[in-house]
Amino acid sequence: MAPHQQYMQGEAEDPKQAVAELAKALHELRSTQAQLLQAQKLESIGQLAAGIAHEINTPIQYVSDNVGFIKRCFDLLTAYVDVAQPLIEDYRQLKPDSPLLAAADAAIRRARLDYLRKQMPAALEQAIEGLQRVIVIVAAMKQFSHPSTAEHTSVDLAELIHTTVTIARHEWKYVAEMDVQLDPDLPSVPCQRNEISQVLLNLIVNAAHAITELVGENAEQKGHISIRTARFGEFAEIRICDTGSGIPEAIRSRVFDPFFTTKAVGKGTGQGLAIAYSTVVEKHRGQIFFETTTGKGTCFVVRLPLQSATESAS
Amino acid sequence: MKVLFVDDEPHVLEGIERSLFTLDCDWDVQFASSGAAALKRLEDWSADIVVSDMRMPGMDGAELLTRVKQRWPDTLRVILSGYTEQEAAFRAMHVSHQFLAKPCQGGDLVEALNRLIIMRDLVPSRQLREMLGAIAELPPSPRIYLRLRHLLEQDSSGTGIIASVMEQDPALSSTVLKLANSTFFRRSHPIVSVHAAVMRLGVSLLHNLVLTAECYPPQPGVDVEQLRERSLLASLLVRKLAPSGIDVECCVSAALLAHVSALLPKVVQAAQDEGGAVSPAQIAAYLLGIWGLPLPIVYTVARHQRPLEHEPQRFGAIGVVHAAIALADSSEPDFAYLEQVGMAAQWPSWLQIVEVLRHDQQA
Repeated sequence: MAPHQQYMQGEAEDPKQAVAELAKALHELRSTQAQLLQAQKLESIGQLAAGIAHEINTPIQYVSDNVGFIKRCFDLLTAYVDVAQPLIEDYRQLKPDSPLLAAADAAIRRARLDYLRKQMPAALEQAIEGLQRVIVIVAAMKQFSHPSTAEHTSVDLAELIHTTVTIARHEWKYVAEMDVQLDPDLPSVPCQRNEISQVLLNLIVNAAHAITELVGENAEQKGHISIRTARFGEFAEIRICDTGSGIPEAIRSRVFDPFFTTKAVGKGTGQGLAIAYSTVVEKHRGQIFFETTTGKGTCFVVRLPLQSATESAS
Repeated sequence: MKVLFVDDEPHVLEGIERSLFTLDCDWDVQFASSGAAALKRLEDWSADIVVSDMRMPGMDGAELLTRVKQRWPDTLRVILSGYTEQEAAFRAMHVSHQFLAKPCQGGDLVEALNRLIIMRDLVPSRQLREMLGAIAELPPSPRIYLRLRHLLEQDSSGTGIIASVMEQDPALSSTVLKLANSTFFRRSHPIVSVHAAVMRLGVSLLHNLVLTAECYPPQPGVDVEQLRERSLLASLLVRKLAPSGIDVECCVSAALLAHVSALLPKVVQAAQDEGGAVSPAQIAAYLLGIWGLPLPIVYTVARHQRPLEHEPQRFGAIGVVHAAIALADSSEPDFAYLEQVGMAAQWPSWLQIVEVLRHDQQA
């Protein structure tokens, strides 16, 4: 039964209580609506991202083939030049006045051969490195945009965290150093991949915003975000810590409330942590909480059960 | 080796050509910019492998490869696509032997195609390969198939229970391992166990896979249930017999899949008619190999009947699978081999283990 029906039908004799209950029902409706909107938005972003990934993958295929080709050609040509240069010197002894020799010297001067030798490999290395980065980002986008399936699959948290950190790079790279230390022995976790990556994304973005608030947009002194994983009994634990200013005591009890935000208009919907809470606690039977010290920073802790509810039941 | 590449984007083809040139591939390569052009090319130039893009105007990759399959069944079929949707991987699986994701680095492409072509050493007979090339999947046991469908239609079924049903059937196991090991789903390491494959693919994808599978009946004369039971028994035995230090999951899968050629009696019969140079184990290994299953599984399947030849020094993966299959089939193992690796004395106790497992299976 929808909440408002429930409240309407209830025998509220005290008008004040009725008003309070209606207000509560309205609040719940709003939060449900917001979650639905968010889900729809994510779905359409997902479809868009999948399409873009396909479009990007094709040019990447031939750009990387061609860059690899040029690099190997350059090596071959360098080897050829290495053989040809002593030949020119020998020839200089035989025919110092030859116009061929003058032309060769001019060509070498024009090419600034020493410079090319040093810079070409570096230029190609950087192009390859840049391509690798694009490939990783597109792959991350692809992982991220898979149509949300309401099922638990086995997820390698390390891989998921790296993907999410890559996706969120733009949010944190100007204000914080990222330090990721993951427990190599942590088993994979049965969870809804997209939803958990959305939770992590929200927590990373929040951490970056907390640091921005403290140090400013283009800080000389960057803050730190650290991400750690470890096994905690029957749970996998993820800690995302920032060196921001901490959460003020007065609002600590409200951070998981829907629509609650301290961010400026347009910066946040106040939904991130509410959705994180519902995802972790309700859908995954996990835990989410934070530890905060005013002036020092905040750690958000997410714990996901290593065995899913359906499996332990069967 | 002759390879035909098909893509509607000419830059992709040129890039591949340059890449292969500098990688010193001495393959004979040709390029076609459409499905129609590819078919025309193949008429007078029979390729060993066709590598095609998926989405092309006119005839798409799936349609092209379907026609190649009908006309030139010995030609190995590969999809190289930038598609990222799971459904695309799924469609590609039915028509291709392997599915590669763009961007695919030159070196990786060469490695994948080389890997594919060396599988032919397992089945040198062209006639047999033609019979095998058209097979996209194997017929599952109707009993297990129905049970799985039932499970998948219930929302509450977790991957654990689904995997435990799937790994009772060699045909279904080979299909999920094929899909999970395509570069689309594989993240880094090859996936050797059915359980890991099911986890990787997820329940909703398996749901689609099972519902849309063409569940054609097994060929006449095949006792699917009997085959399934002894394959399952062999895979369970591997867990009991395996010494420490070997990859147990790989051996479990190999024992489960070692007899899949029994599902294809016509091919096995044809091999016998040719003089028996190609064993049923080689036929099974060839199929699994061209489907892209991890090489350790493929080679363990191929070699399990001749442990003395391939693993004379120790009781390792091949020995375990050999012994487990002999026990499950109630046949004689290679006692000379077991003597040599110091395991012959174990045989009586292993026979007892089989009895217990058989009893459990019947219960």
